[in-house]
Amino acid sequence: MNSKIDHVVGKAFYLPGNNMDTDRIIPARFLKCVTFQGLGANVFRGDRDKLEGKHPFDLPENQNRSILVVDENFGSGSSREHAVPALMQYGIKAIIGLSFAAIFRGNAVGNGLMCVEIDVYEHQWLIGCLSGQSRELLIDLNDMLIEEIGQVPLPQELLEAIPCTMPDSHRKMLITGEWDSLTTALEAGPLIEETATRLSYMAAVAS
Amino acid sequence: MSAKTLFDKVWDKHTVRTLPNGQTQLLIGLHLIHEVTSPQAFPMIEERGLKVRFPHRTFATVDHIVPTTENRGRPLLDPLAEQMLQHLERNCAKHGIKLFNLGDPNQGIVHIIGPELGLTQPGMTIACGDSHTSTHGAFGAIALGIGTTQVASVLGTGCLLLEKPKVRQIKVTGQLGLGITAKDVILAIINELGVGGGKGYAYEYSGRVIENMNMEGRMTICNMSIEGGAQCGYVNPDQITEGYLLGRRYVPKTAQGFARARDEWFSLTSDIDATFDSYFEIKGEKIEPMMTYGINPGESIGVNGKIPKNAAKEALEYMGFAAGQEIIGEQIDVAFIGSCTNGRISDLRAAADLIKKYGLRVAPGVKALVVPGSEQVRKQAANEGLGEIFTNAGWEFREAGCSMCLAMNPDKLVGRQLCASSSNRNFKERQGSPTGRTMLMSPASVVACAAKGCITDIREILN
Repeated sequence: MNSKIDHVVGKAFYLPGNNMDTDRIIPARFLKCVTFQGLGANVFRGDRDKLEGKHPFDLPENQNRSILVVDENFGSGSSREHAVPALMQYGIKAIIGLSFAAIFRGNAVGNGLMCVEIDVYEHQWLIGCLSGQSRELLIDLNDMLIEEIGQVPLPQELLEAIPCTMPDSHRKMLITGEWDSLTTALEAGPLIEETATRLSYMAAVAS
Repeated sequence: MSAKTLFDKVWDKHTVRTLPNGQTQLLIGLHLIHEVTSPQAFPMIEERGLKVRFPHRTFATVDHIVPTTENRGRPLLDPLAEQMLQHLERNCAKHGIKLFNLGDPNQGIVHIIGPELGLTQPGMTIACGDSHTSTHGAFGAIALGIGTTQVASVLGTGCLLLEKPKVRQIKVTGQLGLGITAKDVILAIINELGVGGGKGYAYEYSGRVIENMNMEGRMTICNMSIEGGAQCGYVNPDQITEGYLLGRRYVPKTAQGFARARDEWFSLTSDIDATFDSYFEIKGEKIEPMMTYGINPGESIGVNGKIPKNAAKEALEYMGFAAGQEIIGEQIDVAFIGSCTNGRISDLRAAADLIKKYGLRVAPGVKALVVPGSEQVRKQAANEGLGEIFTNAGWEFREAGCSMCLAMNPDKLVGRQLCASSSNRNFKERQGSPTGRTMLMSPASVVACAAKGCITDIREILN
């Protein structure tokens, strides 16, 4: 069993842009590999090179921040799982967004990377709060709330708890530590074979 | 018994169990693997002491990293590509998995060879560590693109743990106009519903246009379901499906066996009174030759249209276009026909027919590539004289592979080159240059653009 992940605490930063596809998260030129090691250095490499130090992943104030706030349909496109370890190796522990692409979100939970969704009004508010500020957040999967922790008072209105969502199955997998789907699938034991036997085409032998 | 969709029926047949967290443990009946997303998966099962659960239902090929020039002898010139291929070879040999390797007459893009060999059949669940696995849905299968951890799950257990998606019926009514192809249909659908519009859905494509479409067109449509954010896409099997599969290598060989399989396939089609969670309709007559102008497959317009006033700034900046401008007449540098979207024999035939009939030569200054999706497609094209038509008209006629679709092999754009491409993604940097620009379109439109050297309405040539 993996470790239980029922919350993440970290400083947050914002990466703007809808439909941030996995080609951008980790360009294809870095997929020529047979392990997932060493991907972190090249997360968003193409975008970062173009912005010459001004990309959110390169700004000095964002270093060591572990909660990423994104917009809509994050992780669209290619199924490359490499995108998830690339983000995690950079130091991302959780992502808060308006929505996530399905394959990316599945890959994320399989690696213990938390992805939660918030609604558009609160998303705007959160981004406003993050602008020019260092904010330490707690994402708590027990009550599905994002709260600010750390020093108060702040010059701005204190960030109130924001409700967040994720597929209930993913939530349960993370908080119970059962996000290793292979182990769970194995527990079906003989049911797997029984199902296969019911399917006539499964008997076909490779030739 | 309540009416069911094909999706429901196939899902139910493959359900191993329902988990306490609400997920379904789904048996995967056909697992396709390739060199990019499988090397990390094998150690995941080996470190647990597991074997491949259904090696006889697992098939491999090499496609993403292979050079498409004649120089593809071993070792491959790119040592990283060679290493990936060696891992695939070793893993397949060790676990008894059939590999259609470089040099095999059946090597090719995984989503081309599956159907071509008759591995892909109606009523199956199919998974592959590749988002364009949705292609196989054209046969009436549940075909899912998955990540590497899930590849390990399918290897080690034969199963995936999944949330059951909802089903949206997408009806393409009427008929298509002159010069309009399956590619234009799917680009129009994605344009309407958005690249995230399919979230949480499987797409069932139906309507007269789909019913009249050949299998290869249906594959093009299902292929790009993922670009619309859907988990998968499918078409109900019919006589066209049956006709395509008859006689292929992995379908039942005896008349009796084939008839039995066919009866089962047809029993799985969506019931007439099946209800859908969502419905969308598009009129075939209204679909124009579609082209993307931006950096995702939903950012498209009809070839004679103007880029929307509210187009995303980031897309315009990257592409060097302005809101409100026309795209017609934009000079192109590269023309690409190929990929799992449009690298099939019918795509090559259609392109070669146009070239021959209208005497279309590649315009000066344009680099034009035709890359067959598989060695079988290449051989067939060569035998039919298509290769000669292409080369005589100034096209390079290559060996099978993913080629310029995704830049993991030597075929890449250079600098800010603009590519008229029959592939599936116009993401930033997708075709290998950090500033390279892609405009997605049908193979017919690619031929037209290559001949004029600029963005062109195929219908001008046809009329």
